[in-house]
Amino acid sequence: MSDNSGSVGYDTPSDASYRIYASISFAILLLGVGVPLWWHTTAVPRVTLPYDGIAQLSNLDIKISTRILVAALTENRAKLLVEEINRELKSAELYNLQISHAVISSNLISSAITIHDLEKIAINFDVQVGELLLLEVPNLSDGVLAGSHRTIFFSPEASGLKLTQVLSNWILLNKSVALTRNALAEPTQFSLDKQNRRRFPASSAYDVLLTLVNPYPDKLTVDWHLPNVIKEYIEPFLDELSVVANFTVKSQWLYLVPLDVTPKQIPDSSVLGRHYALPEDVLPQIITPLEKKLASQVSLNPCINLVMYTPPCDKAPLHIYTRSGHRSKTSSNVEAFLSPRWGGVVIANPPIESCIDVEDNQMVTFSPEASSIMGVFIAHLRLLLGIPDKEPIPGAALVRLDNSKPREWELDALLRIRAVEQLTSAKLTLQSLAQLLEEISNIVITDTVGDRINGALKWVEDSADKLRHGKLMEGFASSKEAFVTAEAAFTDPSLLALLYFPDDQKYAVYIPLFLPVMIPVLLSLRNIWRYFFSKTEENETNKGELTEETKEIDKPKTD
Amino acid sequence: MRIAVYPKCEKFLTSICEWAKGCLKVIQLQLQSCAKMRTAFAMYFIQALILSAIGDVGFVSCTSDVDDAFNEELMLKPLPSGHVYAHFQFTTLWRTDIETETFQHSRLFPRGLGEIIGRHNVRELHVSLTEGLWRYEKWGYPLQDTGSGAEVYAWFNDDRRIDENWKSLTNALAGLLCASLNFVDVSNSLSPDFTFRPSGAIPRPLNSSCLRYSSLPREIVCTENLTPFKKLLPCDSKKGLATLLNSAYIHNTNYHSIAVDVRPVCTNAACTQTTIELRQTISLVYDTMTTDSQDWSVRKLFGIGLRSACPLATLSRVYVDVTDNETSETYRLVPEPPETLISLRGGQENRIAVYDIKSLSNAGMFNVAAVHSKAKIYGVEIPPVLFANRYVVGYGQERGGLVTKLHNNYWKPLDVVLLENIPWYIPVYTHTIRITCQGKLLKPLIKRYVPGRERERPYYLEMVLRLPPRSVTEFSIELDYLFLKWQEYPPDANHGFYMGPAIITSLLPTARNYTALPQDGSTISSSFNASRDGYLVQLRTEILLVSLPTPDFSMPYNVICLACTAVALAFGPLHNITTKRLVLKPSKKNKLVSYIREKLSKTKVDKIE
Repeated sequence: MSDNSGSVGYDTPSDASYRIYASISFAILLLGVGVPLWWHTTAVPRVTLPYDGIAQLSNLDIKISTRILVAALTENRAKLLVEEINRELKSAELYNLQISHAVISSNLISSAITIHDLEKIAINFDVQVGELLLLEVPNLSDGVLAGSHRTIFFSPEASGLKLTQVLSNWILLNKSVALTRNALAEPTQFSLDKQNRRRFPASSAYDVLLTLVNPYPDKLTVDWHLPNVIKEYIEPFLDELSVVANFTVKSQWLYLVPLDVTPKQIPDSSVLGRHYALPEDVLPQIITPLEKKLASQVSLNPCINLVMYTPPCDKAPLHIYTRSGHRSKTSSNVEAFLSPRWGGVVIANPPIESCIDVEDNQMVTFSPEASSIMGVFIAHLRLLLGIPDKEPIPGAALVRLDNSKPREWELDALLRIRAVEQLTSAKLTLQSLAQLLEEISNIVITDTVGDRINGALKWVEDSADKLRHGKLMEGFASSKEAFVTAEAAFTDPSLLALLYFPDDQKYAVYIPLFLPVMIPVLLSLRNIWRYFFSKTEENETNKGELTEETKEIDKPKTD
Repeated sequence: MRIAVYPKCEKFLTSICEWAKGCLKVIQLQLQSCAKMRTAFAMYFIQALILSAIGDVGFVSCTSDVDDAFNEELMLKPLPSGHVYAHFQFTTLWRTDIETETFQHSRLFPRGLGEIIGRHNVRELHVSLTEGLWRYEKWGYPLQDTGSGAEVYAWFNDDRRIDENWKSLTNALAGLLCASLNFVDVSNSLSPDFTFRPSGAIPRPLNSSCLRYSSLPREIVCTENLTPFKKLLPCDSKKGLATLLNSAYIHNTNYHSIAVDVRPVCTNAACTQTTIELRQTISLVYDTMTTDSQDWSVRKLFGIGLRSACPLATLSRVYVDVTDNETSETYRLVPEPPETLISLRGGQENRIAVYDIKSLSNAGMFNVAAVHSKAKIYGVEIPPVLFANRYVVGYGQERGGLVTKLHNNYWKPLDVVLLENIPWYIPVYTHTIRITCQGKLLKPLIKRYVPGRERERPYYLEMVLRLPPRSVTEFSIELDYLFLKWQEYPPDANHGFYMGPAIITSLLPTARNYTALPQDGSTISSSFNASRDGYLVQLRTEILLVSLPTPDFSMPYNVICLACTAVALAFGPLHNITTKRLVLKPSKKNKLVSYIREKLSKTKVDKIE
């Protein structure tokens, strides 16, 4: 401020410049320091995500390379078969078949008599996980015989068409695999087939819960040691599948959980002169009362329920009747049904002999036959875990399973299906997560989530790459990793932290501060602009400019 | 186990002469009874020299071929105050080692609970949900002491990742029992040194770092807790005594408490094998005085008669304590009890009518009724040996005090452990601790104090006191009320904050008014004729409601608005002064008017153009 001029009121150019500098410092302090600082401190922390990479996944091409070796007795036949199989299976979605051929001498095979011998010969061929050997055997009773390892034997009479059929329907399951992927990606357009509906969704670990239901413990004692039975039958089977997932087997006894339905008594020609009928329609009602006792408080894994129901003598034998009104099976004491993606139920009737001459309220002790019941449960487990039943093909046969272990090519098929399922699922999870995070800018993305998304993306690419190169086992392992990591990223609780912090609250908090402070600062920018950039103009029309400025400053006073 | 304990005991014996003789006697007695009853015992001593073994001995269990057994019992006891005390106990014994058991396969033991115990490496678990307050002064000692609200404590096998396990355990229990146990965390959990000791078999001495205790006094117990509780029973509520548990009648009582206790006990005398004992109990106190007649019956109390025993139960009995009959009241039990036991315990004689439900089950609906021949005359209630009260003193929302009164009616001094559980938002001043008795200051024998830390841990104060004979001892401490962060207030903030009960532990020399099970017993029947050298009680005092200073919750927004307005008001003039200047100017007349006119005409011209 200057009073050197003597006359009050007019300020000197140096005064004006001081004021301008003050305006500038205010503007810099607020706009240059304050606003960025505020922005930085209140911004939602978000790790940058590979959105491009995730978008690219839509074009991810899953192709499973599968090597098939056709070993025939003559060069011509081998070539012909390769050609025929190639032609038929070229259209198989998701598959990239590499079929080669070899000629074997008949001496090699002629020494083999039993299947066991044949399997031994097949070992000489170098067949890796996911690969397959088609071996011609001169004196084979069936046209095509699927072995228990990775070999299919065929007779010289077997046609290429038949081999293709076996390959497609039993081993490669190309339609089912493709449907698995499509149904996941576009659930509205594709409906699942039977195998897919039964199979449990992919998971890295499952709980298997064996429940023995004894609804009338006052009438029936079941003499069974569940841990031993499980150790003997179920665990060896699940051990074979341990590459697919981890399994925890649990067991429990439930008492006094009766059927919610009253089965109808039907007279028959047996010793007891009657049996009880359970119509197929009411079967779901049996499961419902059990449900409340099957949950776990600590395990997050999907639970496969195996339920064994033992009716007492006065309500036995209990048989399931199909919709058409027929008894499903007449011979055995064991009746069973499967509930897709839930589990299996076995009704184990006490033997008729022990039920004859039983008076009311007399206790009957029942020792169930482990092998038949567990056989049913293992059949259930196979279906629930994704090893489908083989539909019969005329002229083709399967080597009988001598124990509960799955065949090696069945395991390979399961690995392929699971790999495709997990890969597709991981891809979809990543894409929907990316979409969600892009749309809602409020969501915090922590380093952990960012790492998981990056990791999952890497695993997906890695898995697809390995499958393309025919490394089934490694490809499956990567897909599992991808699936687990993507799920973990999607379900991370930190994503929910700020989701419900509405915008209006933000405005309510900041506007009372920003509005009154910012208006004068922003308006002063005009003056600053004019001071610097209209300087030349100002020099020319100095006086006019000055009056205008003073006029403006004057205004409040006159108001 | 015995080998591990013995040297310690012997060393102890040689060092402390007077008390040690008692210890020796205890051991000899125990050994004799062991040989006879096939019991084993695990004895250990807390560091307190004077205070004897609180929570010591180990156990009995029936030896049979089966791995697990289930017992159900109901004790009905008319209380001198005119109330009727009903205590259900369902005991599951499973012969397996709790440390190595994976809990994958279960038969009678509830799988849901087993999985939780196995997953979290739990050695002993005690959960209780209580509504109402047990009135020790009027009702004597209960079969099971529980604090109001939810209370949970657990011993873990080791203290690795214990806080994580504790948090996860309480969360799982919250799901299992539908209670808000998920609010238990490090900031409201304690590891007291003396009050809680393992009540079951221990393979090696455990220190209190393996223990966590917490109470949620605000928890309301209702039918949603009863239903999952019943689901843990092998017979559910379909058969047996559990059919009597109808929520409408249970929640109509003066006091009801649901508890689940799991502990390992010794299977044989040498304790080479252990058994997991699960005790599920429900305690109810009915008021029979409010109705016209004092007669009560099973049907009247529970709304239904008993149809049959649970077919899975080895033992299925109803006991009625008829000690008071003929002396203070006169009633007749219908039907006549087939058997009446006389139980001599610690100088007290009780007569117990026993009904075996298993043998009665064919006779249709079973119903025990007490029919009074004449109106009851209420006599003087003799209070038990030890009881306590607690209250808050002071006024306003800034300063206050906490007073706990301990009554000792015994003719000899009593040693007690007092555990004060004070939440972190009520800071206390240790220098203000005053323990007075009959006008004299009393010095605690041992004092443990760990100051609380805001949002991290509660105040832990535990003291061993020797209460003079026939006296009232008053413990008081001054405290502050803390101002919380606005998000820490519960939805109904003005209701106030609850403070968990103080726990008073003692080993009573006499069994007067004492009904609890001996520590080596698993069933109610084991409490008959069970004379021991001491009777462990763990009294819980009242829970307290304190009101913390509660802000007006629109305050943060008001503060923001006010502060912003002040900033804006300050900033505006400051900005104006520094960047603008008022100057005098030779003015033309009506300059503004002419200016506006000029402007207007100019815009008009613009528009026309």
